[in-house]
Amino acid sequence: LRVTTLHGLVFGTFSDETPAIENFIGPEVLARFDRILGGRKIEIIGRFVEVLPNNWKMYAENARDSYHASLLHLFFATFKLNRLSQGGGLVVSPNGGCSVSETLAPTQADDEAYAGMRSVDEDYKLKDMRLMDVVDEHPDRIRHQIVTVFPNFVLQKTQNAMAIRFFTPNAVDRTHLEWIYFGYADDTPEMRKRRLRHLNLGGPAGFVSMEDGCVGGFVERGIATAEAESAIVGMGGGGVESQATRATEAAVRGFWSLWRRMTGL
Amino acid sequence: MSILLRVAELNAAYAATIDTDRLESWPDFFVEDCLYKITSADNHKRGHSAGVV
Repeated sequence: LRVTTLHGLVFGTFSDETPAIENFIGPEVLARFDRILGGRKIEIIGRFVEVLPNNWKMYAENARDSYHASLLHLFFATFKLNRLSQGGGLVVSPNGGCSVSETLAPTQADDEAYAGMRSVDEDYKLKDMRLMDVVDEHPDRIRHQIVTVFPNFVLQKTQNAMAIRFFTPNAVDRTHLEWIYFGYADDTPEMRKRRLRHLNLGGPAGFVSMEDGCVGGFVERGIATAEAESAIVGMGGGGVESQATRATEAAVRGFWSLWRRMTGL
Repeated sequence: MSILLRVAELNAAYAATIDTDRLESWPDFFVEDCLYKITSADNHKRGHSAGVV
């Protein structure tokens, strides 16, 4: 076993051939680690384990699928936190297995693109708007950043909430998902409170993450009835390259292409 | 009635309201000015401030 650290995070490999972590994730993904963790002392503020009723690879897909966020998650789309009509993009590492999905702050006051969408309900209002009270901590207007590292690691910043996720298979159809929430050691009390409020979007009971916790189980139950069948939907072709839109499955394909190279399947 | 029983009764009534789809009555379980927090024994022991909610 070889281990290495990146901004205090410990990564390990059983292979003699795995390159240095900086080369494994590539320069663009590395830059997003630097954005959140570079030069900052972090402080863990909570951790949880969530049991998912599905194969671990479905969760690996979920974290890389930048297309589903504003379609599945009513909270994201309704409150304009994450819509595909906002700016942003997707980065895929040279080896395919790592990715970054970024969403910029909304610019249009009235966004017509999502009118009539099932994931949008204009009648829903929040009584306590402090849940949306975001403060930009970086000069790039990125409000939502999901970083994945092959095979089972996620680093995220959603509004002002920051978390690390990693997941391990517990059975073919069971996955343990661990969340570690963190802030910066020099947070003001106001910022720490803001992070705690924004954390209500993530985690096992999160306004957004709750749906990710069960949707894999829907797929698992669905495919159980069709063991001998196969179907492939190639949305936008077969490429695994970075794109200036999140309406793409390139990072999902990148994951599978690296997984196939490693397993030989 | 002991506090434990009263809390158990409150929890049961709260869950029954959700289970029987009386969602309009659910906010009545909260007072206007409150802090609603759910955490785990592990986080509490470690002194971590983040809860599940």
